[in-house]
Amino acid sequence: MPEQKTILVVEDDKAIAEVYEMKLQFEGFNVIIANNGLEALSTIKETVPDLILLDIIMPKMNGFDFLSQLKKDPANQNIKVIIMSNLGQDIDRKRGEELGAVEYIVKSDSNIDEILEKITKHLGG
Amino acid sequence: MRIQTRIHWLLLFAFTITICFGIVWVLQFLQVSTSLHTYVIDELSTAEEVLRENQVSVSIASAQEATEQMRHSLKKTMTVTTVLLGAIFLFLSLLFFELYRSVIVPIVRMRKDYEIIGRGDLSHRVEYHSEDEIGDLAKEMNALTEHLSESQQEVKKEQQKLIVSLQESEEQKMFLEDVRKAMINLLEDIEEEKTNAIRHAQKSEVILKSMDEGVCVVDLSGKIQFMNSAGKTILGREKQKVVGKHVSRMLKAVQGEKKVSASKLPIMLCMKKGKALKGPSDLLFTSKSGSRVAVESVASPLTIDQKVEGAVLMFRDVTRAREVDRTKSEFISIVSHQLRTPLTALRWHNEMILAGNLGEISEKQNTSFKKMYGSILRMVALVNAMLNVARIEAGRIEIEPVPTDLARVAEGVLGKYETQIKDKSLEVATDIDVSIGEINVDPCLIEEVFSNLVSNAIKYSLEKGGVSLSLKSDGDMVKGKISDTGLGIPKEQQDKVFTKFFRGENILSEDTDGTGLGLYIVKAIIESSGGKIWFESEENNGTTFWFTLPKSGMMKRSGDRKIVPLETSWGHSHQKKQS
Repeated sequence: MPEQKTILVVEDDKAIAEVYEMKLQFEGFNVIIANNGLEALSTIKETVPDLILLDIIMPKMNGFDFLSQLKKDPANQNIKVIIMSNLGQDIDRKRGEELGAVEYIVKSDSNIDEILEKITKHLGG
Repeated sequence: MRIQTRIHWLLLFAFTITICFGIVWVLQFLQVSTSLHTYVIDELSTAEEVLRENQVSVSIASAQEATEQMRHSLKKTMTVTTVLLGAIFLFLSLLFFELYRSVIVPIVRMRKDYEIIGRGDLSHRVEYHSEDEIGDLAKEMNALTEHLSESQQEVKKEQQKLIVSLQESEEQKMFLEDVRKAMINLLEDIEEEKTNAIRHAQKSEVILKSMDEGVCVVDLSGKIQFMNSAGKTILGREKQKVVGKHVSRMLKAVQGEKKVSASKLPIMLCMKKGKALKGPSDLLFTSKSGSRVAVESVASPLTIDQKVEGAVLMFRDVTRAREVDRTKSEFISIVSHQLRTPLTALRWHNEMILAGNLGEISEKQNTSFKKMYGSILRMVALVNAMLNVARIEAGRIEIEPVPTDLARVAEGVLGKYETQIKDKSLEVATDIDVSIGEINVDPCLIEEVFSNLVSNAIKYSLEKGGVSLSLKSDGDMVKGKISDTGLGIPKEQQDKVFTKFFRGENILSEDTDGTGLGLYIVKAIIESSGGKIWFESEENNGTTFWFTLPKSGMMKRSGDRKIVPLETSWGHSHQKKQS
């Protein structure tokens, strides 16, 4: 059995976080949920995930701030980050790209299988 | 009494006297000679008788003879006298005739001639060529007439000259009069021009004063020559004298947080570059009180006779507009985020259920969840379409033209709807002119156009209907045509087709899908690219849409948002899901 990959989901919306959890666990991933950026930063100190699904608009610490904090630590350079946001403006996409996200997905425009395909692609590559 | 008449009378008198005298003389003579003869004869007879009585015989014959001789001599004397008198008469007659011929006649003729000359015919001459005094007189008179004629000619010439010069002076006078009138007209025109210019200047001043935009004019050195009241208000310098001061003291600006030196301001730069310059969008003017004013500005060099003499800056306070813009942008952001988040949860949960990830569901439940899923996707599409509309209306859709093969885009779109085409067993015909090649357009926007038109054609086609797509070159435009044999648009609704949220009445019962925003967006894209869109439709007989796009392509426009691609709830996602 291949090594189980860990995915950190940073999402404040419970209903969405639940879907991630169910779907990803169903697909055989180890899923950790963090409700905001701050929580996610402390989680990372304990477990380093293989991939992070990152929401942007969150209380306490938003996705962009979390991402810039994360990338400050050279140890975290290899963690793949997919931004999962409902902000569709180019300016946001550009910012995410600049901060080192590998993908920027508008949640409502994508179906869950597509997201899974992308996760698999980035983890496999 | 005229000489002629006098001479006539004199002549008559002389004749009469001569004749009377002659008659008296002759009668006297005859009487004398007869008396004498009688006396002599009587005396002789008496003498003879005396003698006879005295017997003296005497013969009187010799005495008679002597008497006869005496009578004869008397006769002779009388004849000589008569002849003498006749000669005198003849001489007098000749004298008078000569006098008449050589004096009276020429004088009468000359008088007639002079009458003619006197009447003004100076070319007339006295035709009298005699070598006498009268002839001399005639010659003299002719010379005089000649002289007179010459003088008259000269006078005439002088007169002519005078007339000519008079005419000339008349002409000159008229010319001067014309000049005078022209000058008056010119003066009036100048006066009018002046009045107009003053009015124009006043008008311009009023216009400049009443403008909402600030207007600032500087000379080459950057000294302010004029600033309207709106400009002063924007800069908070209503009570300050700005004219004559340098632009660096009156127009303080920052960009971001950095101060912009006067020489870098568009109003100064435009003079160097010799062309109009738009101020940077993040330029802020600092008012007198120190507050920041967001401005939109354009500076143009003032070029007079191809020489830059200064510059004019037009600026507008857009602080409020920027705030509204920001609010709008935030609202769009909130709507997009706040609506999309619950929609995402709904969508994904639904997808998991439908995928069987949460356990088996019954056929009925499956049908129900599918319907729910369709509605969720429709809401996603609606949110996206509304965002697009908001962005289009705010003019903030980014247009990034790149060489694009329209044929490939069209075919790609048709490929995207393959499943739907198969489901409805539609016959698709394409007629694409490959010579069109690549055109500089934004592929996302063009795909949006094709997606909307093609998806509509498919959606509103009946089973086994036909959809056709053609792209043709039409002069400097590309003409696209997408037609179907479907439901068509009711005639009474045709004028509303491109309005927001339009849905055909005849399709609402058949199809609850669709946002009613697609064609509005398509029209906005086509028209902002310099093209046109129109259609023909008959209810139950299909619809044909035509659009044109200039071959020169779209103009680049930077904006902060791209259009959200049409994601048909019933198309794209299903297709992916099924794959």
